[in-house]
Amino acid sequence: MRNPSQVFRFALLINILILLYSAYQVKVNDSEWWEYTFIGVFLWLVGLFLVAPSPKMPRWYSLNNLLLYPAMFLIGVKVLALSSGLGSFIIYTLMIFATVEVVIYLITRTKPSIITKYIVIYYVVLVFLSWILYYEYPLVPITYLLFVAYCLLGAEKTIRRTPKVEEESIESKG
Amino acid sequence: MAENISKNGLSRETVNELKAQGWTDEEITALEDYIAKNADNISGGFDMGSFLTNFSRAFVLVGFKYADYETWVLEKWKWSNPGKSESEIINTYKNAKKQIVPDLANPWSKFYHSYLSGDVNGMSSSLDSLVNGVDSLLLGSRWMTVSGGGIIVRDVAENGVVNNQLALYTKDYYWPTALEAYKQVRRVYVLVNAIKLGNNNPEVRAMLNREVAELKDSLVAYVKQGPFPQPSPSQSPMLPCLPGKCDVALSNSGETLPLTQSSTSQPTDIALNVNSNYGYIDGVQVTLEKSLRPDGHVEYKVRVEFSVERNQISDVSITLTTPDGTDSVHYSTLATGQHQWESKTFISSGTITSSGDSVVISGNIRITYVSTDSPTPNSAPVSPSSSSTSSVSTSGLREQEFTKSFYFRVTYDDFLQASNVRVYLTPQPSSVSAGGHVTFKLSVENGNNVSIRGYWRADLDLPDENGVVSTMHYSGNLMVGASSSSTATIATVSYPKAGDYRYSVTFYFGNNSKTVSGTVHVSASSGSSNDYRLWIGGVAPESVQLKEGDTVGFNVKIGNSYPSTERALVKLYVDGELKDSKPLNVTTSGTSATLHWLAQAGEHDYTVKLYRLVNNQELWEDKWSGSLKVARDPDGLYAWLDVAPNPVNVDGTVNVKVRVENHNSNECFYQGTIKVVDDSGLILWPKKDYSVAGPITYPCEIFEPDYTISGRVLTIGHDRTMVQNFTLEHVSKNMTLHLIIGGVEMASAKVDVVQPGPVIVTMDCPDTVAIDDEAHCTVHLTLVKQKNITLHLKEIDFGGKKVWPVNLSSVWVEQEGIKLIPHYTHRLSFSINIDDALANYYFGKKPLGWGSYANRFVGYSYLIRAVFSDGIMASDIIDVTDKSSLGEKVEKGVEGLGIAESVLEKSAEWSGQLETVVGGSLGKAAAVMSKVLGIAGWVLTARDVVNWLRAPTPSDGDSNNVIGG
Repeated sequence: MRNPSQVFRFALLINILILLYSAYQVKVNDSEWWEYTFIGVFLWLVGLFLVAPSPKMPRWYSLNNLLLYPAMFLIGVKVLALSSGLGSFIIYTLMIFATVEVVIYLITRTKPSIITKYIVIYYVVLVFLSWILYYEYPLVPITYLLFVAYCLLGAEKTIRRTPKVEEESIESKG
Repeated sequence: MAENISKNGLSRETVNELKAQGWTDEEITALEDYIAKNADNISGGFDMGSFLTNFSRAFVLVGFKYADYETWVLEKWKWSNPGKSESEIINTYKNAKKQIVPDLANPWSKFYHSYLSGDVNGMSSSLDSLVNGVDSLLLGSRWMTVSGGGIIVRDVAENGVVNNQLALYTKDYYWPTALEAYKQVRRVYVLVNAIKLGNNNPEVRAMLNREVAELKDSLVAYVKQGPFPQPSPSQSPMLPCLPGKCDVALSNSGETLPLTQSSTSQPTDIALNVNSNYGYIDGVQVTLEKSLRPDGHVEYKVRVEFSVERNQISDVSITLTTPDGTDSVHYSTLATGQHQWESKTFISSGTITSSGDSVVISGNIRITYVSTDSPTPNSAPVSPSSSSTSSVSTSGLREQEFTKSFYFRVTYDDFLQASNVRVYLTPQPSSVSAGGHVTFKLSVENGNNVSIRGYWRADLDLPDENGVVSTMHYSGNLMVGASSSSTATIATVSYPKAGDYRYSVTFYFGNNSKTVSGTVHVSASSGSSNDYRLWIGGVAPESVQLKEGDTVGFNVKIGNSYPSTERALVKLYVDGELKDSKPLNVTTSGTSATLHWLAQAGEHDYTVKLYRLVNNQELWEDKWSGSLKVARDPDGLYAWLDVAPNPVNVDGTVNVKVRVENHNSNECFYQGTIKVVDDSGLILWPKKDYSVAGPITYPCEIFEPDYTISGRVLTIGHDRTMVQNFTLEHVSKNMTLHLIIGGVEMASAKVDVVQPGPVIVTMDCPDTVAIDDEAHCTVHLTLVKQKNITLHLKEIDFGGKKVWPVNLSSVWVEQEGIKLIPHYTHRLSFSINIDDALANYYFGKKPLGWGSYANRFVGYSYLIRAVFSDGIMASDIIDVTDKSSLGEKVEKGVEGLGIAESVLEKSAEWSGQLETVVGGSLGKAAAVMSKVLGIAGWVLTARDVVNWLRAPTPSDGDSNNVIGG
């Protein structure tokens, strides 16, 4: 399953099924386990749409989306649980956002020959992080794996893409 | 002997006997210790045999109790709302074949044969299978419940077609006593295990015989024969007989006998033959016939009613044991059917002399008898001598035993009939001139043969020198002997101003109360009063449910104490306007008259005035006032609101009946909002999520219910009636209920609260309180007794949950104790902050993230209740309204903007509109930074969805909108 669209459809199906069942469990049994599962899977589902790269957008933009959303949604759930109010939630989110953007900048400014390797390492770290943060809710890191797989395939495809838009953009600047 | 045991221990023979029965040394030592400790309480000789018998029986009865509990739980679980009623399915199965439940036939047969042969181990192992079979059947869900503890089992055939025949079910039977069998199999389990573990008490065996007989009957089901899949004779005449499954297969094979024949034919296996069973005693009911002696002791007889089932029984002994003595009876035979026996008269050791006293009458009924299994109800009685050998034999004779304990608490009120108590309040004189004095005397006649001790409270309207009328309260205790009367002087008061002044007194005794009231007439001039008068004895409107346009008749009863017939005039005033009058002659024995009025919608006050006519001059005599309600008629809609009881004792429960009739012929349905509110507009009914649908009788020939209420909107068909009942609990202050339909007040009803105690208490809380605001409540306490008392605040409830004293920061109380001085009104304040802490405590959970479920309070009314010592309570109702804080608004803004930004951005990406924007450095920075808003918005949205899914709803399980009331 090397085609991103196949992974997208598969992840979509799995996430929707889990989402519906977890909604049922939360409603009927008020289960905390399913509450966190719902939030995680909900965000992965939204993330699948948000990261889908548009061919009309420059490569850096698509790559930024593909790298930013998995990290932010992953940590966002934890931030939500740790925040005492909206203010602290926004502050933590901004701090993590800035950190992630710096990491993305460092990855994307590397040579085209090794960028894929760095991206793979980035996603592997995120997957490990997902298990560390949510090992109590195994469906969350499992479904996150599908989300990350889609992002990885999307990133590979974006890197391989002829950087037409990017070049035109650079030329016009020059 | 007990003392001997306490000194020397149990005898060697007894110890050996106990060890033979499996007792350990520790258990025997423990028994010796127990006897030693209780030696003083053992008055007679210690009978070890009797002790052990009672001991083993007690264990068995404990086991039975657990069987009953388990059955009760199953009933609550599965039979709370039966899928069908017995009457609905009786026709479907009346011709079905009676046989042992097909799914249980095999284990039952094995058990029964072990039982007949006295094989305890065989009984035990097969009983395990039977219990498992019953459990897997009843704890599953492949059946439909029928009222009375029955089930219908239907298994759908695979593909619906078997052997080219259409078959709907592979199994279809009605088991009317499934719940009974669940209990019975457990009771048998207790007895079999008791015997297996070494209990050789013959009574246990006899009990087993009875329980097995009843178990067999409870396993009988009505099995339908078609349309089961039928094996094709040409292909497979015999079903495969798997090990251990033969009996099941046989009973499920769908025999093709005609129904009439099949219903009588039975298998040769005695276990499966439902026509054969031992006779046994069932349905034992114990009642008490009691009377109170003058010395306070209770005389009673115990009546035992029971039925003999299946076969006659013989050598029947009924033994009754009570702490007050024993009694017994013996019958040589008893035929099937109902029987009863009444014991001799016993006299209780305890006494009842006043209200609050009680005597416990308890005891034990033991019935032993001999039973046969042959269906020969007219056979010769079994001689008693033969019974002693056959408790486990297979000869057809079995000893059986039934034991039942009973417990009655006899109270003072059981002997008190309220109708035998008459209360009179006599003002002397009944009419005076201004400035005169009147003495009020309370007289209570007690026609009961027990004395009563009661409490009275009188309310007298008294004018002051300026004519301002206030109500004075008086109270006291009164003791009335059996079949006698007592009188108490309430007060002597003066009336400085002319007028009519009400008085009333309520006498409280036991759980009853009686009220009498009347009016004192004070005339302006002195020296004209005499003892002769005319008076109104009562006025009653002819109809209770009055509608606009009805002609209402008022029946007026008039009394006359003059020595001769008097000419009189009665006048009817409604809302102060004269509506009807009638002259009449009033004889010395009194008379009655009817006055009429054309009813108009609304609540009206009416007054009937009585004058004596002397030379065409109207001389004032008496008046009677009251109020009535007339249903409105906006577009043919009529509504009534009735409350009962009214008045209600403080903290009592009021039943409210809402009745709406739609007689509008222009439209098929009327639709409009419906609610019952109190004086301040708080919605008391229906709860905001309450929905109900009436029966379907095709109003306007449309397949719709006669009426529905959903979302507080009433839809009612033409010529249809809606009746809904709800209750208001913990009512502690006077209130008026208003029924409002479509924004129009259609009816109203006053609820009067009486406070029998020495303290008059009311509570005032704000009508509405917003989230994060305080409900500041003040309790007003007025002592009407003469002696100071100190009250303590014991509890504060909010919405049915105790919020003080508990560790909750939301509640503040001014003071816990308050000293009351007679005739002064004291105040005690407390406040409840409707905040996050209260919500977290009340609902027992918090939303994910931060904040609370305080907003879930909104939309309901809540009863706030203060409970004081001496059983004094006060309550009020508040409505919680929404108030979003700035933080919540900012949060919603972030959430909404984030999602909107995210969606628009994604749309712009795919439409190519964002491409040029992100070209420059500034555009890049903006595009990247904007994502943080979207991420925050989506995370908050995920949290909100979860919090919405798990959000609690305030509820106290009734249909009114007042939580906790």
